[in-house]
Amino acid sequence: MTTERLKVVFAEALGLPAEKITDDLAYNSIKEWDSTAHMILVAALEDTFDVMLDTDDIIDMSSVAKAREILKKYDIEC
Amino acid sequence: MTCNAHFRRYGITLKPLTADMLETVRQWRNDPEIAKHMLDQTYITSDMQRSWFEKLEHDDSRRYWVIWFKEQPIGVASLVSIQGDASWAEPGMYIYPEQYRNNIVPFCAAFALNDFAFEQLQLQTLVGKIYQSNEASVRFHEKSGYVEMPQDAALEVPKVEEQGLRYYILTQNAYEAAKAPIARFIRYD
Repeated sequence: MTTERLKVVFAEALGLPAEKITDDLAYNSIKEWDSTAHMILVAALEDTFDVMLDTDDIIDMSSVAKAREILKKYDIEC
Repeated sequence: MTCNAHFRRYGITLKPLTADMLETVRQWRNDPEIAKHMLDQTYITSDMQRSWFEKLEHDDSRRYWVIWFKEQPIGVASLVSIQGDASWAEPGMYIYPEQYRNNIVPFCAAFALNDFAFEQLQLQTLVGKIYQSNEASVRFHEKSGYVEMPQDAALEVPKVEEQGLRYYILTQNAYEAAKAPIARFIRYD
């Protein structure tokens, strides 16, 4: 289940309405999620959740569900 | 730095294109997902590739590298139209594996190429030709510091008049300013 906070970060970074942000939203499935949006998203996640992600995690963050899974590694539940 | 040297930055290694990588590169280049973004979308045969490579070996105005990441070849980077007076050149790049196309990896590769261009070749300006319809490419270039070439630009760049094709330029100062906010996420030793 995508929490409101994570949903807002994704929606703003990708320029999508919040209702389109679901767990299975993946970066190769919509044109809005390009490499530039990906970096805007990463910056927003780091700011919002006060975390510093490993570069490999930034690369692996290929869906909303995957983002939550990665954040969990940093003890962030969202 | 010699022409054959490897250039390492941002987790990327640029290795000059060699004959043993030609077939791999040809297959990548002919994949419709890659070819559709090329200015020249001609299908490349083995003979065409070999002939092109033989000419490349004696041409100082063009350089091609295979992009390596995590000990794997993942794409191609290039500088063409390298001017003898180092005034400008035209960079190019593509990443083949889908899992590396839309995240930080293209920035890592582009930054390595830009560093080589500005530091090793001492180029003053990079010139990008981009179709306006390729929104992702426009955004990527603008995020990397490119601006649309002014009509009165002093650079003597031969222009192809083609619908929707725009010319962008990148100076080293603009590049360094644009790179900093992204490079901070590249946390490789």
